[in-house]
Amino acid sequence: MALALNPVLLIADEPTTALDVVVARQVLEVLWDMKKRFGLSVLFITHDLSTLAEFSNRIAVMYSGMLVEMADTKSLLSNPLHPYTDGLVKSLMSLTRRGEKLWSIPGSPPDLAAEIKGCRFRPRCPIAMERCFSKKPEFIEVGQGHYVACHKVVS
Amino acid sequence: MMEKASNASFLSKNPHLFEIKNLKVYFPAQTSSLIRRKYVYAVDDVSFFIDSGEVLGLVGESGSGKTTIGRVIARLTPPTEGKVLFQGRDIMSLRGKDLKNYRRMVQMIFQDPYESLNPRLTVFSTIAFPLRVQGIVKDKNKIREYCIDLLRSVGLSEDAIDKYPHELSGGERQRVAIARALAVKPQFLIADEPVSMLDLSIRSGILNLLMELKNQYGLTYLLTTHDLRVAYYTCDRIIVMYLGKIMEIAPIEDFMSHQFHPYSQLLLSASASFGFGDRPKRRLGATGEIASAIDPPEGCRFHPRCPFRTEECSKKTPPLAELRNRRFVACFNPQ
Repeated sequence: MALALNPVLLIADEPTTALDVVVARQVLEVLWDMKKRFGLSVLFITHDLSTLAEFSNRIAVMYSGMLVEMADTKSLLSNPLHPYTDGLVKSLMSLTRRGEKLWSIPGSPPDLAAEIKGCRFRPRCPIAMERCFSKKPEFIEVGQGHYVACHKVVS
Repeated sequence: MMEKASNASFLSKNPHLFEIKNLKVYFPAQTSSLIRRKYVYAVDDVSFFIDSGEVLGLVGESGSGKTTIGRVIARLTPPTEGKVLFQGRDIMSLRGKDLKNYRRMVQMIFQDPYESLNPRLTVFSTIAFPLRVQGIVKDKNKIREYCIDLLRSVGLSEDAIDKYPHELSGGERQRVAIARALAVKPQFLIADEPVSMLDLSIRSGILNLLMELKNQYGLTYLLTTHDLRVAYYTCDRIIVMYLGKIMEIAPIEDFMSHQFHPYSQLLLSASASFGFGDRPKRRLGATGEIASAIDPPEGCRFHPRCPFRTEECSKKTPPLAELRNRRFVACFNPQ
């Protein structure tokens, strides 16, 4: 139905999150075929990085209403700069390591109604410095097409 | 003759903590026909055992019957046929004190922490309720203290105790659900898709917690999941289910290096392979969706989707046979 009007952009909002692995895979394959056949651009919204690893050209990571990092898929996953992205990539489960403790990001997402000064990730950040408490980090290009919003990385 | 429910005497006689024998669970289906009653064959002739101290994974798609098995063991759903033996005793025959004790020893964590907690009870009331029912803490003044200790052991702070579920995040709610299950000092925990509703960043924290608690309290788990990555991290053995039947049983390491059943191979290939920008690397071998459990296919349940099917598969149901040590497969053409 989404394709009936010959769109140029398809926004897929968590299209596979509630699905079983096999069906999710089938949906992804259909999306990929459609993208190729109709030359679509796809904005794929998901919390599952491992899906994006295979099905995206670029990834933008959001945290609590702000963009924290954006880069092409390969550099984002192999060289995550923002501590939040780093935590996400580390907590990806692979089928190769077993017996190790899984990596997890401490704490939970902040209450969006409460005003937080400075960086919103700061309460959960392992590398927070003084400036993170007072000033909101800007979203800056640090490498080719690689953007990040973090005082520590930029400094 | 009634036996005393002392653990030691049972364990010596019965090597397995649980034995599930020819379990069948059929639910009547809504149909227009008055003449022929139809049934949903949710679980159809399933037998396996659970050993003390292990983490057994039940893996399969929605509709494969894994949750139903968990519910039968928790005595939430009665079996249509077959038996569940706990330390040698049929759980359906338990009455009175024995049943109450069974309800204490076997606890369940549900998939959706947004629905499994009563929204009108505070965390304290939620955890204290089973404590009072089972009389775990004798001194009334110590109940609060006990609950705070529990919250700490599941990684929550003391402040959480007077909060309502809506004030907690998904991960925190699941921790409360785990605390509630642990409150009555169980022996066996059924974790039904414990992380599938949670965000990626929270998931590993909950899985780590479950594994720590297992080691700390010497628990045994039955963990259902459709995500083989979760099974790989947590389970010692897994059972692959499809449409109410067992397809394969294997120790997890062994399973990952080779899958005998074509359905197991499909499941594994559907789990993200995780290579950068590789696009859909491997096409899925099988097509179609899981069939309806109301009119399951004749013969092997998986044969309509199976790339290796032969004529035999559509006529006869393959028996679950031990192919090699501790590896059971129900397939006429194991790969």
